[in-house]
Amino acid sequence: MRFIPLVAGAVAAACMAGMVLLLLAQIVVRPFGILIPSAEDIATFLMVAAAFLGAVHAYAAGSHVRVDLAVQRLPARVQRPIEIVSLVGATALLAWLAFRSAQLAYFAYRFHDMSDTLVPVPLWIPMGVVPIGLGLFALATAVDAVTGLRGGEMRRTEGEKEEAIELVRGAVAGKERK
Amino acid sequence: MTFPAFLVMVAVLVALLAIGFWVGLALLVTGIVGLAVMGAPNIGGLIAGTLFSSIDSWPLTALPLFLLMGEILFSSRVSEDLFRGLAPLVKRLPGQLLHINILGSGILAAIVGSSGVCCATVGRISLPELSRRHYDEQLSIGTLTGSGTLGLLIPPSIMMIVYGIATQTSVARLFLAGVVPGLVMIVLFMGYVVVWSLWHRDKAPRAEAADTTRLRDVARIIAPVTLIVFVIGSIYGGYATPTESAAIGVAGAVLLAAFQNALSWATLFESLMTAVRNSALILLIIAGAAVLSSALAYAQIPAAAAQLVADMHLDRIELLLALTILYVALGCFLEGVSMIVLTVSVVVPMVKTVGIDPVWFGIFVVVVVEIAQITPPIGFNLFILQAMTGRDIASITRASLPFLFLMLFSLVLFTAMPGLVLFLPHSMIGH
Repeated sequence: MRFIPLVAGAVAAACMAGMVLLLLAQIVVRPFGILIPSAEDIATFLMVAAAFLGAVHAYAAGSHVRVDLAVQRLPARVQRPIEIVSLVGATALLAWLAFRSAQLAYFAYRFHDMSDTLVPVPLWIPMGVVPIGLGLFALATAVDAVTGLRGGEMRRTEGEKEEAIELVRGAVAGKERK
Repeated sequence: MTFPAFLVMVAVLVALLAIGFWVGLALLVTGIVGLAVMGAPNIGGLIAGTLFSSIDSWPLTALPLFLLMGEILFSSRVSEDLFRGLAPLVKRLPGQLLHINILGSGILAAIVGSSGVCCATVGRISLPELSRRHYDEQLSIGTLTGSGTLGLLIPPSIMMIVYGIATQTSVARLFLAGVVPGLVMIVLFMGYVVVWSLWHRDKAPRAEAADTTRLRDVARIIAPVTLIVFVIGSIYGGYATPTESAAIGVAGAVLLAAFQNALSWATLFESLMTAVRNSALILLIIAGAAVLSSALAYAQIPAAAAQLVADMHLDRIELLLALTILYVALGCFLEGVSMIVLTVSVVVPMVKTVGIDPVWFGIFVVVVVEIAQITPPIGFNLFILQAMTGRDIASITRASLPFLFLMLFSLVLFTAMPGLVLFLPHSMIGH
């Protein structure tokens, strides 16, 4: 199970790298009067993919933004059920969103929706990434919810403070590396 | 019908945030509940469509690219270079190396878009150096938390991209609008350090046995400064959109890191993965906020809020004062991006009613968010300095206080002289 978010993250990273290369290529060839067709739209679609695939990776890395000011002050035995309810709720929400997005992508496929660009791109391709990302996200929260219900160790999501500490640790490590 | 729906939405949002539900998803759920309460047709289709279209936006592509650029530079040696390169320039000013915190943050702010990274990158080099030379610790900390926030104001700025997308304001113009206010803020901060140092001569660092700064080290800041001129200049000159200048910036950052021998495939991959995580987080919040905004629009809340301002005959100053209080209060439990996307769909119609330029207001909001970054209970820059120095949050907050007042003063300045903000975007080439 642990490798799925990592793979999603790596694919998202590849999309982002693709975005950079595509945009750079466009800047380089433009002075020569060459136009990469629909480069802007393809770059945008790559970002959509990176966003929705990256979301599960960010979740698994424990870095989703949340307000933990109130919850952190509660005793652990109260925190735990709240966390489990959150996870079950999130799973239901994400699964429903994945289903609806899949429907949307399917309609785009059925009715041959094309992007409104020089070289039309079938819209179901970028739209289809959304349910995949959300579905994997739902899977990850579901696994955590089940772990929690079984009484296993819960994943800790970082608050702003932990995030800051990690950033500093990264900075110091970066310094020592050299 | 719409007002009860609005109350339900507020209640749902507060409850979800209180139990620590992920902010992006909390905004989404609030929007869904709002639409359901009002009986909007085909909610599922509407929301799925909004999720896709809110991210499927060309101006938004600048956001992940600037985050990536910042990550690559974060892992490079640019902050060491800044410290050594700036030292010979500032050592004759009263306050000496403390100015490095301010100028270094200012320069770094122009290459990275976020305040926390700015703060941590400059601080990791300068703090040990400053304490080794017995500089006043309070002021060392304060200059860092204070000028770290410049990352939000000086372009490129993640906060401005988010604001621009959420309010359909030109990101390029917002970037340009931030330049002069950023410089004003640097001057205010440096001025304060000069005055403080002249006042407290007894706390000045002891003269060093050996002055290790060398004038030729100034050359080290040439590369980062060139990168800035390229990135901002290409936008100002109309040669590149913010996204394209970000792509150039990524290439520049990679070259810079490679030139310093600080680049490896592993660090590059790590930078990419971190940028993916941070972008996904922000984009998810943007998508959630887009759903919430469509629910608010369905309830006609933005129009009602604008009407309210008109009915109450609020003038500019009163409204801005009220909004400042609102944002500082929100800043007690939300971070910057969430604050902006949560509020602007309602607030911007309000400020337009009293004739405030949305570009100017963008700068105003960014400064207010900066202020929130250095006020407890949650202030990201405070946490960073806490992690770096081991001091408690109260003493770090105290150290930041003078800079907080300088920021408030700059708000007064920008309100009195809107030209400071709007001059550059209005003179932009090619519009």
